[in-house]
Amino acid sequence: MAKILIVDDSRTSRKILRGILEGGGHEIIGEASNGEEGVINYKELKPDIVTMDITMPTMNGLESLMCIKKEDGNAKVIMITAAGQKEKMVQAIREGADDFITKPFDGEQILGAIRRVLGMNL
Amino acid sequence: MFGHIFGRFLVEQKMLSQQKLDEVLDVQKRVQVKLGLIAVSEKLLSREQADKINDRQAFEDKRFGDIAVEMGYLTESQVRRLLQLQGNPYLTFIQAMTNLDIMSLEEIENALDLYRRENGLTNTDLEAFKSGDMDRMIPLYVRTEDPLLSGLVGVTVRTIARLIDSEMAIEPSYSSYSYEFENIAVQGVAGDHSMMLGLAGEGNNLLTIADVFAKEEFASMDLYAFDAVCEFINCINGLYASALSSRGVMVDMVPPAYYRAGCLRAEDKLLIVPVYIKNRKVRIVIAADTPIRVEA
Repeated sequence: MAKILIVDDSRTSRKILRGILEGGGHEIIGEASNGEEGVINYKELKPDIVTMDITMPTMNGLESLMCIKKEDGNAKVIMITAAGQKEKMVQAIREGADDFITKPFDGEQILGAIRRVLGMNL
Repeated sequence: MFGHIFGRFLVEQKMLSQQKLDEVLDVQKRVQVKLGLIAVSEKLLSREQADKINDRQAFEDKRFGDIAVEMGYLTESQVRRLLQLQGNPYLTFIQAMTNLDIMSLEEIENALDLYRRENGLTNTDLEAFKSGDMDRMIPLYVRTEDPLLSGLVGVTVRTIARLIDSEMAIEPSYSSYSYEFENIAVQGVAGDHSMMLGLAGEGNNLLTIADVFAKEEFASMDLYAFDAVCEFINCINGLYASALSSRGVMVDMVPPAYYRAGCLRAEDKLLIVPVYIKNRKVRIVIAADTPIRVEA
């Protein structure tokens, strides 16, 4: 299935997400705890998909998304937020995000987003 | 929630031991309330009438409700309503108490009236309390005129009940300009309004949240346990931010933080709501549109 990079400042969030994604048959090839690390890891690991939390210290998810997209216009990034706010979703999509999921995590919602984004690749 | 709140009151009043309360709560989970007890509690039948029906039921293979209708004590519509009430938390609690012979219905009703008077509840409030409906119960305990504060408390309590402990209990809130804590996880939101949500607990009480939310067993409130509580707060604030957004109020979360052994000070008052999660005391600490200082 997909090689995924998880970017989230919360260890708990990364752990829960890892469990759902590995349960869905995907491989977690890296984790980053802020947006800046996320950009560095993306360049190094070249994942199929990045899951990107929005609210993070040092560099937030929207800024990290923009850097990754600048590096690789074909990068597939799914934004994750605890707030299902329309403005954030619109801004992220405008910056090139491929999909959007909300916390608390719902396994089906996450795996569905992964399938949609992978489907876009075919 | 009803059983834990009222049960705690009975223990504090020394009408019940903690051990007996635990037995009652355990039975409550499994008990089916007898229709006769509901009917008497709802004042649709007298005790004598219920006893007569029970006597007939001993040698007739018929349901309580059917006999009550035959004897002209209840209508079919009343029986239907009683059947709907059978799952009510207040009624399952008193059924468990009477099944275990701990207190009679009259003793329970007297204790409930004492609870009503001691908490300044009206009869309407008491019906809300007995309903077991969280949305009707929360306002009885959250004493604030500020809709932002009451809204955030509501989301917090409902999310704790949904994701952490469906049997949580709540106590009346209070306000203060400062709050001393042993352990606290907090997160602010900024935008059209600034708000702060914190969850505080002494010792390892916050592990009741951390362990369940992270699906992990932490030995103590280490940075990973705090991270789990912070992430839980992040989810709550997100849900509230979404609700505000649908009303045209824009707020955004900042990264959460945690502190040990310190004090929160606010220019305007903090709202503090004590709750019991898995019988361990945790406090919800909330502020809106006021500068907060953390001394830790």
